[in-house]
Amino acid sequence: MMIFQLMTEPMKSMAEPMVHGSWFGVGDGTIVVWSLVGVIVPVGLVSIVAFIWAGKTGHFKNIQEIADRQLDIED
Amino acid sequence: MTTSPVSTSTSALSPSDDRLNFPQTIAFPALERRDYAMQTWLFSGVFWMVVAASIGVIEAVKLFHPEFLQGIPALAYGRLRPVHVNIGIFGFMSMGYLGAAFYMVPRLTQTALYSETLGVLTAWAWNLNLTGGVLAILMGFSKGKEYEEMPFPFDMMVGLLEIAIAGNLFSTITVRKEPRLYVSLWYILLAIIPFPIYYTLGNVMKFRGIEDAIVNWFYSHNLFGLWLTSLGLATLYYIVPKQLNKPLYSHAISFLGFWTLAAFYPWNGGHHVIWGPVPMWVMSASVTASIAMLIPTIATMVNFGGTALGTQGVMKRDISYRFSILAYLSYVGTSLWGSTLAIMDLNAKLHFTSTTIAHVHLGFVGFGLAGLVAFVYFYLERSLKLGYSRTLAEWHFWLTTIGIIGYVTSMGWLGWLEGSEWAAGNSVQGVLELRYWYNVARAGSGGLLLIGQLILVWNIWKTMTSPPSDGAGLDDLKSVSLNEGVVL
Repeated sequence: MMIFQLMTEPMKSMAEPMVHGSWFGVGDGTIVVWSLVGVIVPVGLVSIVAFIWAGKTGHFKNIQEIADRQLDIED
Repeated sequence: MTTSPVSTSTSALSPSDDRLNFPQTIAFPALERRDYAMQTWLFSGVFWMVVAASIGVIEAVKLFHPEFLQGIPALAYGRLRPVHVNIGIFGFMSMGYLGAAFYMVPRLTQTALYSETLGVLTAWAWNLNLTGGVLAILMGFSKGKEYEEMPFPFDMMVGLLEIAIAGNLFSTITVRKEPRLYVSLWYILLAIIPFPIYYTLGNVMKFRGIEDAIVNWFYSHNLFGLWLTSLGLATLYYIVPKQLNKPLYSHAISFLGFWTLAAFYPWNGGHHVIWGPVPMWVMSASVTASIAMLIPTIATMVNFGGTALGTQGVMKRDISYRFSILAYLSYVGTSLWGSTLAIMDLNAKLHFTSTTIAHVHLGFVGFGLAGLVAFVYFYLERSLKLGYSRTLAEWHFWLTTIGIIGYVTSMGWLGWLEGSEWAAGNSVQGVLELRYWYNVARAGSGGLLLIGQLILVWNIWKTMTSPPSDGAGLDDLKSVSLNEGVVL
């Protein structure tokens, strides 16, 4: 019975809410999470290089052609 | 429209056709029939869809009338809930959309499926394994973690079978005759290749404490994001241009949507443990990735929106296309909602409320169910050349639509009220009374959805068992000619 009463008591936490204001940071954002930066930056750079390479080697050439041809496939 | 047609003869898809010297050895003559595998997968998915909806309605009734089916351990809420979820994911959605994948891959590659035999056998093995897993949960054997309740060996079998399925589809794509990969194939590849990695991490690997929770959500969210969403989008990308007889608005935009989805979705799982005792970088990364999901969402929105522009006429007469639009709108709504829910302040208020239930069902039913049903009607009409009952399909559409709106509105609004009450200091027990009529509305909406799907099953059954002999449809059929797909 005691437990039930405690469970139905409204919570009155006086704690101040924490601030999370940074993409790569913790707490108030002043401490940078370098492990996260270390993953995202190389992946981002590789992606950019890959896109440039794909564009230069013609992978995006006539990209709409297959979308047009899709309509001609017999169901 | 500029086209340079490729060979589209049906013989190109015949299992007996040239397989480009691929060492295909998995073949049993009785099972090597064109589209046999896709039919087995697709109609198994439809069967499980009805089972999942039925269990969902029973659960919903229990939420406002707990005495319902009380006293039967196997039908306790705690066992029915994981059964509903597992059948929904691994039965209805996985099987149905794999059926669509088995349909699309041979057509888009202009190559016969590597092995119809393997496709059929894996479908039946998947069905049997799922039945075993579900019975085990009903008997009380559960791993007790979300989306990984199925105990050993049923959990392990899902992973092994998926590798066989992926091998079948991947082999077909590898030896394709059509060199270009249409966007649907990208999404199918994204679904089938990484699955064993996160599935194994979630189900087989053992982690402790909070690490286990983080890995659990990494697995669970990828199950939705990379597996089900990819298969669903692949299907919509295939059928929508065909329903409209109009090419996709921009293949380049779909490229952007695909790669950003592939890049950001795997990071999303962490947003389920926001405010939990997890490292801050997990929260930061997942919130960032969740908001970055706006890019693929907007790309998909623009692409489908551009394709669908000015097609109200088709929407009126083609129920399959109407379901596609319902799926598209639900996908956009679910995705935008998901990104918003990851914002930390809003998450603190809403995460544990019924809002999350509304969000999930908008995705699962609004996007998942509607997209699959669109494909079922498309398949009956375009491939089997069968005319289904238009009247029954209209009932099906409106019951499904009203059911989705009712469900999402009742749960969404209830969630907002719950969050507001809790933020004001009220307890969980304090808002139970508030929930009563919303739960009644939830069960009512679920009931409408279930009736709608039963009508679909009846319609499929009647259509496939009594095809019209004179070329006309059933008595009230208004069959849509393939040549009528004029864009208005």
